Amino acid sequence: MTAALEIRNLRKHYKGFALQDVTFTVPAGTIMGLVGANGAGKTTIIKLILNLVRREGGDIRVFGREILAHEKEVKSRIGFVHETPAFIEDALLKDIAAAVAPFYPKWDWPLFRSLIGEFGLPLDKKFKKLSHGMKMKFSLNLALAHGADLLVLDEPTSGLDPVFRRELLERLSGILQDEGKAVLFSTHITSDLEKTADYITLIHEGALVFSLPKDDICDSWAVVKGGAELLDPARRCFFRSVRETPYGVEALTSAAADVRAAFPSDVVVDRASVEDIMIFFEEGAPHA
Amino acid sequence: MLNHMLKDLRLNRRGLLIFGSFYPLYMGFFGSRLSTPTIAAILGAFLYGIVPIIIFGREDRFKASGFGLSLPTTRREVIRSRYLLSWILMAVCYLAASVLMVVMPGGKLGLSNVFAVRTILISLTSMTLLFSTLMPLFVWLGMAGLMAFLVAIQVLGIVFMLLRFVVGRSVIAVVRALPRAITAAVDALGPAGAAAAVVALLVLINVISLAVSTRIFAKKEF
Repeated sequence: MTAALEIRNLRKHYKGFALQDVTFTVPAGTIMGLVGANGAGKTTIIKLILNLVRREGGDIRVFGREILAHEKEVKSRIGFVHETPAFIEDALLKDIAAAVAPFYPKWDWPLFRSLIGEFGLPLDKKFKKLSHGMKMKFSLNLALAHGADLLVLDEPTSGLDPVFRRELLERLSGILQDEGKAVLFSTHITSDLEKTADYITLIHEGALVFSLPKDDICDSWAVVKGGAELLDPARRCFFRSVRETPYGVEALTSAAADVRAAFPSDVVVDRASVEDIMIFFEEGAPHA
Repeated sequence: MLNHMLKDLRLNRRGLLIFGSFYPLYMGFFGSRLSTPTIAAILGAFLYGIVPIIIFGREDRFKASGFGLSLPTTRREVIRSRYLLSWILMAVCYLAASVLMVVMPGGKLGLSNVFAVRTILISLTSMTLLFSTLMPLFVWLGMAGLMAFLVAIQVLGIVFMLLRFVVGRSVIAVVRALPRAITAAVDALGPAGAAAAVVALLVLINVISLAVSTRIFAKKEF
């Protein structure tokens, strides 16, 4: 399968935070959800893809082209939507579009106008007069109108009402009818992922936890609920994270089948949702 | 590069109209009341140099730089287009103000004064010195760079006054030696040679400023 985006050993550090050798691939024709708690490093990864911040190591390739060596070419294939779209606030939407269009060789005015109609965006209005949802729609409109092959969306659903969130997610799925395209979107709203993502990459404190097809996560990751037997040092190796609750012990495993075989039947093994996994990584103690 | 310039022009049309017309109008009127074009050239350069900074500063103010850089472009291209557009804007402001100085009713400056080679060179020199210092500061610190520049000018003025107080008239003598040196150079090179030398020096200063700004911008994070 062709890779739309390949990230290898990506490194970047700030005071009190370090992105540590992050590696993952977004295959063409798929939607990848990039998840993690606030401050995990999702936005930093997206900024690194767009060269908005300087990487300290690693390699980023979009459709096989290294971004720094082919910056213009690569960016012309990327559609970017920021969590808080920022343009010159007192510019009219039509002026912003007219300013952006010449940068893209594949800019499609009829498509742009059709999306404007579909989203109900007023072209003669100033950007600052739009609600957050409308700003997001306009930003998405710009990203779609140049036929981007890779959409990079930073928290696109945060602050949106449920109706537009659903609309946005459906549209993302629709984009993939063209199999050459791909979507990377960061979020901490895990329910969005359950609906749309084909792959999920989890980042925790700057480090990659996993980057897997969603179905594999459902099959192999589980929350194990039981008693003190889960704390048995000989069997702690099954667990990625363990926490004690008032009702017993809960543990997170990435080897659900092995746990089922290793533990007696009074231990409950439930399929782990992405949210469960995130919470365990945030709150649970890593295994010894 | 052209796309960038068009983007900046399109998205800042109103600001350009306001500042790009007010400053030349103001300078055209104010300059026409002066009897010597040198002061008008120096003061005017200060105003024209501020115009592009105010325009580009709007992107900084609205935190829109990140989006600008997500477009198919390189940082080098962004800076180059800004230098070129800045010089176009400054030249237009300078020309408009100069014409106004001449045609303003009751003006004291004639066409031969305002468009004398000496006046033009003083204007270009003033614009270059101001802009080539200000732009790297702006690229580095955003609008805070403009503030830093204005504060630095004030501090330099105070330092100069203190020096004059402490060291005495010798500071003035040093400053006054500069025009004498320039006059000597002009005599040695001839008017055309001197003008060419000044233009070459100004181009060099701008190129150095561009290189510094490009280097700063390459390291900037958004």
